[in-house]
Amino acid sequence: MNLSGILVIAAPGHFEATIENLNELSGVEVHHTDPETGRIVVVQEAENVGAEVDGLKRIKQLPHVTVAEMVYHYLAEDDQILESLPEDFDQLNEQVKVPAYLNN
Amino acid sequence: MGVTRRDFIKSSIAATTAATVGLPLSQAALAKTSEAEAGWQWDKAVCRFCGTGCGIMVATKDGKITATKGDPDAPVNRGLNCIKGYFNGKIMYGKDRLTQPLLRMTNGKFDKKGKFQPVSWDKAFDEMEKQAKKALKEKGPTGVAIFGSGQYTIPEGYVAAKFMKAGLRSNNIDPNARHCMASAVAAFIQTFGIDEPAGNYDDIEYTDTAVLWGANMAEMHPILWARIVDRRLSHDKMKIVNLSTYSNMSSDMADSEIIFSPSGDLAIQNYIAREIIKRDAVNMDYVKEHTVFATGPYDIGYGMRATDKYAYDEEKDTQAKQLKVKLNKYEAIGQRKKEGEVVEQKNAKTAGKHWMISFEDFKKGVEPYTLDYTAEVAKGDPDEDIESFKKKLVQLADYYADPKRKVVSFWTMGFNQHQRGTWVNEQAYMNHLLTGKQCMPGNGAFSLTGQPSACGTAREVGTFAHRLPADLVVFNKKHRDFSENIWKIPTGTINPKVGSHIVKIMRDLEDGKVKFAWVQVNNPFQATANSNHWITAAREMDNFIVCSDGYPGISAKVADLILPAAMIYEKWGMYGNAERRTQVWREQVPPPGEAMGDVWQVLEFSKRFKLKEVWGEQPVPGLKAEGFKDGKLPDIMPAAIKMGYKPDDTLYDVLFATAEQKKKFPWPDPKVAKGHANHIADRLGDGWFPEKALFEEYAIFGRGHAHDLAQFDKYYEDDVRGLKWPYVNGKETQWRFNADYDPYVKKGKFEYYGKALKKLPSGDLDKITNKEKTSLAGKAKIFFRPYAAPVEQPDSNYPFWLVTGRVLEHWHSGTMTRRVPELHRAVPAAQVFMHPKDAEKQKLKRNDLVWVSSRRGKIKARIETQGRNRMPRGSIFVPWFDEGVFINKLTLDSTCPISKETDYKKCAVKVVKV
Amino acid sequence: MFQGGAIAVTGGLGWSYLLTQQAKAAAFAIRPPGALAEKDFNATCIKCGQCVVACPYDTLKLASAGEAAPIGTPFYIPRDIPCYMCPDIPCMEACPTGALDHGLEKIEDSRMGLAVIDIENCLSWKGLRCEVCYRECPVKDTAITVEKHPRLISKHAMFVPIVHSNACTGCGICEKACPTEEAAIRVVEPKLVQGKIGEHYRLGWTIDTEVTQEFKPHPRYKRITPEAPKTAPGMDYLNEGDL
Repeated sequence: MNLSGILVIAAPGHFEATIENLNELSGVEVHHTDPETGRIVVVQEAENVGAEVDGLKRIKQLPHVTVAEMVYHYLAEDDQILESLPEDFDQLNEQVKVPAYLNN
Repeated sequence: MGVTRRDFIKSSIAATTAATVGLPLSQAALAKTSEAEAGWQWDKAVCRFCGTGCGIMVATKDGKITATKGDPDAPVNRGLNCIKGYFNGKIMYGKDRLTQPLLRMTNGKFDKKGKFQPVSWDKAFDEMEKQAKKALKEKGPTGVAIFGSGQYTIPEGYVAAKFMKAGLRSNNIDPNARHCMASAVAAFIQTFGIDEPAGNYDDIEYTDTAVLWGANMAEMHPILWARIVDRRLSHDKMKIVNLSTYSNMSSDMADSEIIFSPSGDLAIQNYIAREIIKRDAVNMDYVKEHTVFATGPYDIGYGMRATDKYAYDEEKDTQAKQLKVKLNKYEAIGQRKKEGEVVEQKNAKTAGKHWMISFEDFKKGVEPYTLDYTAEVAKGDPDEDIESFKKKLVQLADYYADPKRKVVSFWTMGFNQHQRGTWVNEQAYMNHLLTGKQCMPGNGAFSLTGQPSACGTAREVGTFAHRLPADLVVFNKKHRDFSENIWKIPTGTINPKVGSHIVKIMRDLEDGKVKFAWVQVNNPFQATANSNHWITAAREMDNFIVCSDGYPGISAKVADLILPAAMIYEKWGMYGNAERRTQVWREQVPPPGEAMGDVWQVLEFSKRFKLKEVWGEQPVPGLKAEGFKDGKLPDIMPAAIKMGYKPDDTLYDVLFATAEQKKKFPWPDPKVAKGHANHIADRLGDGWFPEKALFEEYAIFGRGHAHDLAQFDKYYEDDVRGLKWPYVNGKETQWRFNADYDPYVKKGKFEYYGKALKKLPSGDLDKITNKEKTSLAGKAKIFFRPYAAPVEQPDSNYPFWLVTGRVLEHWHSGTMTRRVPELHRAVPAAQVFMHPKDAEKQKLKRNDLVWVSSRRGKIKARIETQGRNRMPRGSIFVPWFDEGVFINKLTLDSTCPISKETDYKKCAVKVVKV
Repeated sequence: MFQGGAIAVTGGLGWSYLLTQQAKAAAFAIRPPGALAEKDFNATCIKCGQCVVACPYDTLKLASAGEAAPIGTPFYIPRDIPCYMCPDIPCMEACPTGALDHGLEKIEDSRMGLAVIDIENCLSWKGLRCEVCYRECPVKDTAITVEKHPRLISKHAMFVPIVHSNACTGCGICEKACPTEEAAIRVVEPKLVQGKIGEHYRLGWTIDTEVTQEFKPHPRYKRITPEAPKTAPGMDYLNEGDL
């Protein structure tokens, strides 16, 4: 499973329309927008690298998109790994009754 | 949960992407942030770490600390912090925070060899009570002990000291501050008759010269160092001299760096005194009016055990010098004796005695300390040219002798942790008193402290084996009467025999004399030198060790019972810093889990003792005092009954939660609390405010006796940022003993009104010749103290000097700072600092793992040849914060025989590649 | 244990920090000491992994798909494990092809990258007594120095760390040690951040240019008559367009 952070720049006057178009694409979420500069940050979820690249092409081909570039790329081998990482994160916040150090 | 996690990653990716391309976060996101901050509540507090005493502002929300900042209104730091102070808000939230009492058990019962398991507070106190009473029954009051702390809040120190001294009638309470500034205390008392510095931090902005004697202020007092450097940058005349046994960070801004040999400082001070005399720079009016000359015996031993019964075979040659020492060439010259003379250390037990001498005798004493002699004995860097070293000594003497130049001498552990610590402290006063440069803005000898409340609690409250509050001592009948009167306890309650100092408590464990010990707010099993002995004694012998702590350190691991303690901002507290400034904070957040403040732990334990159990006749081996039967404390029960107490009253009822205290200091106290909680008052549930009650009772000791503290409520006022005592008629005292500033000065421009040790016999340099005591009221003493070599020195087996100390990033044994991931990452492990040529000679490279070993133990660490401390050839430095590099297994438990403070700076080791 | 602590303490921020680091690393891979210029390095490195095995601190790793460097080539991320600058440079010694150039004699001469301080987020630049980077720097006092100047708003001095590119090896110990939530000092590719004053000007107070007052007569030379130029500077502008 691949996640990518993509910067999209819409042509002047087509900002809102571009956001709508992006929202309609499957696996794409709009996270941050800046109307003044026409910049939009989206996160795309894709099955694999191939789908990720195709997904980006899909965005590039949208009307009024002047720029669509992958800025950030996150790769997880599969869902299991993705889910397991933050699992630790939750546990770490739990209190340990007897620190292992004391009895070792 | 899965969806939440995925969303979380996605929003992180989005934020990162936005940040990477410089996209501002949406207004909504920003508004959300400021909305969150608006809910924060800010309150004033004090930094948890060193003796500088920086002000901190703490923000809380929903029972958690959300942020801290340097307090812009705090005069000490004006909004700044060092990197430890920056992380105050994080020290309480380490992953392995102790939250429940833990007892070593097997099958549900206490077992010294068992594993730690969680127990309730009730069960914890049940076992503690059983064990303490067993020790008391078997050994009397000296069978129990408390390892106290310079990091106690004022109420914590007071409650522990009163519980021990008035309740259990034991003087075996001694703080880790013994390892830190006992030598400073002994010198203050011997020189001025009263403890603590005369000056304050503003001296920095008034002076022309800062002389650092064994004080690496750049790392150890970072914020004060920023003030010194500012003075250096903004005042043309300002000079900085850094005296040390190795080159450290403070040398970077020093105009002169003097690397001296271990104990060479003793000779350098005498050289300066000799120069002051030779140049006719003695301020004779001042000396005649305000001082007398004094000296004491030289054959005082080295504070080691007098017997080799417990010594490892390897240790025996060093230990033997406690009894007899063969003088080397330099000692012989400096002490006017013959080289090779074997001197029996007859005054080991009477090291503190002293007598008045004449100025003529004093001059004779310093006469041998010529430039040539001093340079030869004191030059510490074998690669330095002796002429250049001499030049620097002459220049240093110029600074002290010049009547137009203001000088402040600063020192910390280099002087205090010294086999002649009291002497070398007194020598600092010697040169300031000879020139009259003392107790004036920008002029004075200024002893800095390491711990946040070494002054405020350990010293002022008197959590030492010999002390009572406000400089009173247990061996003085008048002081005992005065204390017993305030405490409303019968005459004869307080034990007149000085208890065991902290090193001796460890030795007592090994001897089997102490059977029950309670560790509070410190980590003595990592901090005490020669620790293999004490850890073995604690784990292998029949005794019971309790450790109250926030985190599991070595002392917790050594203990039989661990009590989870509330940390800094989880309780009400007050600290006193090195410039006599008392500062306070409120409880900001609740302690986690079952953790409770130390005040509660002592109060709750005191409920377990009935008067009839502790106030009957008690054996105290070796007790000899006027009005006492030899070896016995009297039965005070009849007197107690006359005072209206009942045999079944508990120590809690009689010493702490008295009807009067409850009435005078009720909880809740909305005026002071301003909505803040007090988990201790709540849990006690009997309607009083223990911290306030304890503080106000303690303050009675000092008010009217030159230790005046303000009212409890005053410190909590919004615009107060600590107050420097004596606080008289609504005014702080800036410079003590100086009529312009100190209301206690009654006559003349200066008056050293301290009362202790102010009647002395007189004699010559070697002995008392007239036993009749003369009063020297109002005067300070200028001591002659000779050069003495360190007891253990490098030889062919152990060719290196070992110096230990701290690093800026970590506090003491690292139990707090090593829980802050950022600080741990910054300095993860202790290194062995070594001169590159020494490393090369042994075919060692930077980063190589080595064994460092002494007669007492060994550790493994990596070599650093080009780091922050640059060693002279023949000397290595290892910091002590890292329990993985347990350097106190190697250090020598030799102490200053007067102050009983351990010398962590001088022992012999070898370094071998792993 | 303490890595875990980091996450527990900083909560969500700890995690986003890890992600950010990955993003940043993608821009520039820090190579082991002695590495040839990137293009030559990629051509010479046979991806054998011997340098990785030789590194006593597990600093080096081989890039896998999606990481900062071409797959299989060695690099390191200083915030995880920096280069501890072994005096005997075992990674370079182990390199069989010279992709890590054996001509490097002293580790202090290696240039793996350049440490750069983000002065907006550096605690020392704000006046706090931090300077962890300086104290931890293995070539301190040459690669990183601390300048002191008055803070002016109180009676304290500022201790401001400065990196010197002529001595910084790019080992990244400073980046690892930096106590801010995200490192305020980072190792980057020098080209990305280094400016250049220009050859036409010398700083008057430095000693790198020799000032001489010896005016010697110029050697005689033959005057060559130049050919008439077809164009001269400014001609285009002068001749084209209307006034």
